[in-house]
Amino acid sequence: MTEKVEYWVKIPFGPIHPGLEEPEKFILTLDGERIVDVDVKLGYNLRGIQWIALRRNYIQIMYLAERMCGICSFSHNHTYTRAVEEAGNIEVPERAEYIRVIIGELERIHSHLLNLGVLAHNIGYDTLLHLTWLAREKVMDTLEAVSGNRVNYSMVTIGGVRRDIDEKKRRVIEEMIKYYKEAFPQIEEAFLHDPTIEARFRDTAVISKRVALEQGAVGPTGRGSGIRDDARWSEGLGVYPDLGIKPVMPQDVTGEKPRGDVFDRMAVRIGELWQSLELIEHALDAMPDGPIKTFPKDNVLYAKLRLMVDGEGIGRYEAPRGELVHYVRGKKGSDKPLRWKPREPTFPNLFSVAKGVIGDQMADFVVAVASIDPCLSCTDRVAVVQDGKKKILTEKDLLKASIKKTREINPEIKGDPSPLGVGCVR
Amino acid sequence: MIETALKALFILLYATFVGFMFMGIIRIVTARIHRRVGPPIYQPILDTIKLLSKKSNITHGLIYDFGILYAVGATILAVMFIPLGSIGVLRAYGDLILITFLLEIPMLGIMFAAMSSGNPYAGIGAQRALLTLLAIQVPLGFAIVALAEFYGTFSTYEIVMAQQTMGWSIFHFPLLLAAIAYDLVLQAMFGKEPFDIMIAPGEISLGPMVEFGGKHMGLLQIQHAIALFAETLFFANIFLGGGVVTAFSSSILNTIAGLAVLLVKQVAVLLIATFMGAIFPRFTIDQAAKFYWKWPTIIAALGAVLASL
Repeated sequence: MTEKVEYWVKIPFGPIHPGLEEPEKFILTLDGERIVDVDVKLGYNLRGIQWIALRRNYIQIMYLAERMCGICSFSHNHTYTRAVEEAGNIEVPERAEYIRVIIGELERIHSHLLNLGVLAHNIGYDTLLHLTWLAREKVMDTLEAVSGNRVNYSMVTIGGVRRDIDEKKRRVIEEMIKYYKEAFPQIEEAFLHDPTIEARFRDTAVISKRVALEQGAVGPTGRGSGIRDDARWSEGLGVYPDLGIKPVMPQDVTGEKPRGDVFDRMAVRIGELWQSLELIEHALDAMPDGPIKTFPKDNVLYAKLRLMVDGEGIGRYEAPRGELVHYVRGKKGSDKPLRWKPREPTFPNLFSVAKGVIGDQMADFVVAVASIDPCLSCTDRVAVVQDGKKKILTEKDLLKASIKKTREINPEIKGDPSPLGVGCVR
Repeated sequence: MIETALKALFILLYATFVGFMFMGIIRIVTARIHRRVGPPIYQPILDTIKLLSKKSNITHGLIYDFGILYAVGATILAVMFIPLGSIGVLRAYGDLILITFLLEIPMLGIMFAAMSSGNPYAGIGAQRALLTLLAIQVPLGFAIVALAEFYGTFSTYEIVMAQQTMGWSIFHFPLLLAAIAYDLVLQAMFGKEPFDIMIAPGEISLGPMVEFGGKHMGLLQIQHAIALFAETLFFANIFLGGGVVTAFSSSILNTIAGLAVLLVKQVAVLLIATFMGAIFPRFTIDQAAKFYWKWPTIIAALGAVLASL
């Protein structure tokens, strides 16, 4: 064994790599083509959102949360809102809950189609990439028609939603459902019944149920490994139980026992596309009339939040990538939360896939990483523990550290590293 | 002497130009299959001009520069040996095995250069390319043996001439099998899906090509263009009857008509490869090797046995 180690090669995979959508770094130890070890390095996409949030009030954080991630912007916004609603005991009108379901499921369709395309691209199947992303345009257009934006929808507000779905928007959504009833069978056929795709996806990056439970895998990753869990179902979230929500398991789609490989995760996503379509249809039919928000004006909301939010609140929601948790702690009389902490599904999923991919080929690595649909922009965070004490790094400290590092790498560097202008006054 | 030099120059220019057009055609056809618009057909030429006009600051030693020249030289040599209609410089020496060999060694040149760059991705890509090269040898060898057995000669030019009287190779059953096997091999030589694991753009960022830039990459583009031309030309010659036209009285008209006929056949070969590339995902290296040592080998071996009977 010790003699063999010499032939092992360590190669960096990322932070910038065509196979990864976001900066993230893996150090792969390779024995020829076989992966021996994976070392995950995070922290290339930290933007200090939590730190920014310390200087924002409840309403401003809603829009900040939305901008954590482009693809699951609704999920973050929605989960944060739920956490604040729990902390402040704010009731949400029923119609608003239905509208939240509709937007959430539209977002899920758009996120899953995107991921399916990325998976196809990573195995060099660009025809399928363009097929799925062409289909994705429809849901993006629908989201634009309904909310006014293709990405950051800003539909949710604390205590309801900001925009109603009227007859005209409803027709747009119904038209989209009709389109997808024709488009999805094509996509399903291509992904589930293509022998070459099966050859690449089957038994690749197998995450066993035990590993998935140990690492806490959630969402399609966990369900693909056979964990029957869906925050919408287990939590009984909002009006989802009325709409007949059930976790989509791989056996429902493929008819085989879940094996926890890339194929199963993909099959769960395809099953969820159909489920989302059904949920939207049901929600459109069952949507009652009534108000869409508890507090009609934002200034009223602002004043009420100061008084009402006292104590802790936790919001849970099944984002397209898995269970998302937001924690909010507030104090009466303050318009800012004392603490706001999101917990993203990618973090546990990334480590479970890093375990699952060991023993596979180098060629399968990109596919394995794409199969959990990583969203690094919400995962990265920084905390420095020095001499047993926690230390928070400010922007100035980070800048100082980066200047020091640059000088270390290249002492002859010229130019003044101090920032130009006044910058933000802190 | 001057005539030979002029002919060689013509072949070189024609091969480069048509090769670039082929690259453009591949991109446009793929785009249309994807329901995209695609770049204009001359886009590869613009890319190459841009690359050649760049300054190369980095070199990784002698082999790094030599490998590229080796690849380009071998490809140009290969194209000289293949009969191009009635134009030919070295076609009398155009041995089947020699041409097959010359069409493969550019890969070795690129690998020399890639390995000497020291980039781990290039190393992995070169390793995969070597394995692919190894995998395609078996069916390729059997296909060549089938041809030689059937026609009783190794000369490409004689095979083309024999096809004028006996009909195209693919209309004979044993050679049809050999042609199918050869076409599958061609997929790997073009570096198209499903056998493009050695370049794998989304995974090891073009593999052997990852470290090249500027003039090195420009030369490699030219090499790729000529190789595309040579590979399709070779296939059109040995399996699709070549481009010999004697319908006109004027020899110039005959030559032009021959080139046109060849071009149509070459584009057909190219389109088959493009369509195949569009409907398959990429195989991993073990899947590709297993595939090549199974089906194409069986088909080509069967063809060779039938041809010798």
